Amino acid sequence: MADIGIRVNAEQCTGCRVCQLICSITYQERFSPDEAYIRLEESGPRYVEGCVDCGLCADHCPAGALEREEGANGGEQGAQSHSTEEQETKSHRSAVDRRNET
Amino acid sequence: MTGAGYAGRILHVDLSTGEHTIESLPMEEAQLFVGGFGMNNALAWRHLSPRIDPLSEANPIILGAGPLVGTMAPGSVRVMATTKQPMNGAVAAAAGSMSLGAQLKWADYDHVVITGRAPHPVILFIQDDRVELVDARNLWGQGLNGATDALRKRYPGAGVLAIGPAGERKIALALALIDRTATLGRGGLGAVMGSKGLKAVVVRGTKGTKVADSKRFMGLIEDLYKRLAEFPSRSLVLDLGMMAGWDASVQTLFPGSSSKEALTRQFGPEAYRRFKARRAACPSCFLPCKDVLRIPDEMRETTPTSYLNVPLLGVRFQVDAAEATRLLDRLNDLGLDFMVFSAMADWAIRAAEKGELGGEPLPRNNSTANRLLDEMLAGKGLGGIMGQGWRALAQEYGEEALSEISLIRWMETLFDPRCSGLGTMEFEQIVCPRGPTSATAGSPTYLPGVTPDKMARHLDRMGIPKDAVGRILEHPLGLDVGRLSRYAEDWYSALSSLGICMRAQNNRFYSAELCADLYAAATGFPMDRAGLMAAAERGWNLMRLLNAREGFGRQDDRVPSPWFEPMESHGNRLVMQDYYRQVTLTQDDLEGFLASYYDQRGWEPDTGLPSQSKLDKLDLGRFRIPRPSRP
Repeated sequence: MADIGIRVNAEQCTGCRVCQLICSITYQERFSPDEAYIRLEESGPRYVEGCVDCGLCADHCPAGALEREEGANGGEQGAQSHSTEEQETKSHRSAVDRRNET
Repeated sequence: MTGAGYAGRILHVDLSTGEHTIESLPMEEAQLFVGGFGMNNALAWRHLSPRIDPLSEANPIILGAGPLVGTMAPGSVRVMATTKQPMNGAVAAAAGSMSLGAQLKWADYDHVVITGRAPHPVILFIQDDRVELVDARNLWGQGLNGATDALRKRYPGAGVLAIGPAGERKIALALALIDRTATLGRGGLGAVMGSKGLKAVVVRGTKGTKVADSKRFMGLIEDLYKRLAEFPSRSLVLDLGMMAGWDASVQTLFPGSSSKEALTRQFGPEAYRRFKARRAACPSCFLPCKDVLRIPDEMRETTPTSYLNVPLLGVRFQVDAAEATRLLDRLNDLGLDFMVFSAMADWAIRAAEKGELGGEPLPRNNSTANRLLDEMLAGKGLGGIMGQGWRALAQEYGEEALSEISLIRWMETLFDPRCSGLGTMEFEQIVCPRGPTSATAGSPTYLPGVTPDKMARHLDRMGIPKDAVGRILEHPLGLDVGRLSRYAEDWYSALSSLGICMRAQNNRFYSAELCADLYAAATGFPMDRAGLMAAAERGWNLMRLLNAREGFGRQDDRVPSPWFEPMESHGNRLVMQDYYRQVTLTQDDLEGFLASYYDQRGWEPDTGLPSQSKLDKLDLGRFRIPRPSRP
């Protein structure tokens, strides 16, 4: 798995699962934490194989536990929200790619 | 998953036979009631026979998670548990949070109906289509915290609803906790589970929840996140949780105790920071209310809770925050309602001071709390009687001994209008079919002195029709709390039927329009503001009918007499006043507000029940009105 351009501040994590919910609705078309590319473990959030570094999890994390790293892959879109056209395009493309892999 | 928003399935489990069946969710009825709270009432009408003993095997436990539960709608975690509660015999829909509701939805169920009594202690384990009763004899007798930890280790990632020893002993104050964190079932749900030999319900869902129109749904969610980013108190609430409102709530929460300054020194935000290990949230919540605490100089982290519970216990027993945290941990581990327990203990300490209990004085301290708990568990002495509820205390010591306690339907009130003025949270306790609760009647009156303009905006947000807003605000005192309480209940009914958290910091982001839009996007069924509020009204009316069937009615909507007596608090003499604190209220004023409430509900003023024509208008004609009478 490629490096993920997201900094994890585990001590800030409240366990709200918003990262998993936004990931799974984007890539699996349902709210399904088990199918998200991020896991919540005792030590904090952990990314798993399949993550395309879109940064939606960091954009939506309400607790500051996930933050885009400046200059990282997803960083250029860091200031944009999920609803922007480019973001939707990227999300959609990533989701299609994912389906082709499996 | 079967459907969108709705899972489309009801699981029925018979603990006596060990068998289970799956029923398709009747979609027309589900739409009529939206789901969750409302649909639970419809299921209770079918599965809960009137006048049964709450601790008999005939009493069902009905779990319900509304169509938004399991999604990313902020705070969409509300799970409802409907049963006949042992404390007072009312049919009650308790509301809880944490992961149980979401796991149910991800496992593809909207409701679970649990009936019968297991031949030996069991756990109901649900993982998607796998449903098993697992022998729990090894867990029976274990504390709630340890049992939950053991179950989460055995079933990683699962949501766990469990009881402690108090529930096993069928103590009327016993509740259940979800994930060791969120309480469920003030009024004795824990005792009902105990009577069934049901130590825990463990749910693990891996199927997920689909929505009908994800683009529209996520557009609405993105708007909510934009509003969150602009919310001025966001960082404050994220940092302090429930303590963010400390300054405004001290007098209301701690009447009659020491000064605000002393309370703040002992328990206020600075004390909170010393105890806070980290914040904790329910799934989908963006402004969490829960905390993991750590007693200074101790390594052990506590069960997540809202820190605000610590000062509530600390003040009652005059112990410091560390002692109060340990006591709260013990109460949670036993599976006891700390609010009822501390109210009863407070009464006992006062009564003992006056020599009314015929024994030794009870010092106000930790030892007394633990002694009463030991007695309660053993079913002996004063604590043993407390464990049977307020009615048992009245039978033992006479109703006069309880004359200073504000009781309605044999449950103590949680909000005292002498401290805060008569807002909806105070008034609605009189008419709530279940007895006083903490969440059934939230409204802008939660805060003092809200200006009429701001009030009107919020009432509109809650789905109240313009003409009704006019009637509410045209009252000579500036607010007709009776009329407003009807709509506060309906707003509660709407959110609880959808599955949205009622907490003020979450609730404030939602409007009736937004809720209707989210419902439509999630389920694919058309919905608008008026339709949603009509469904909410249906749910509440059916709740009232369920309790009429048990013999409750107008005669039980009684204003507690202590409200008319002055109360000493922080050096002030407090009397019951209207919401805007203009006049001292009399019995006639309260009767006037009750009349307004029944009128706004369209109920008969003499019976406090909907007429047949009212039921027909609500599409509830098939629910026959029982005659109000006592068994």
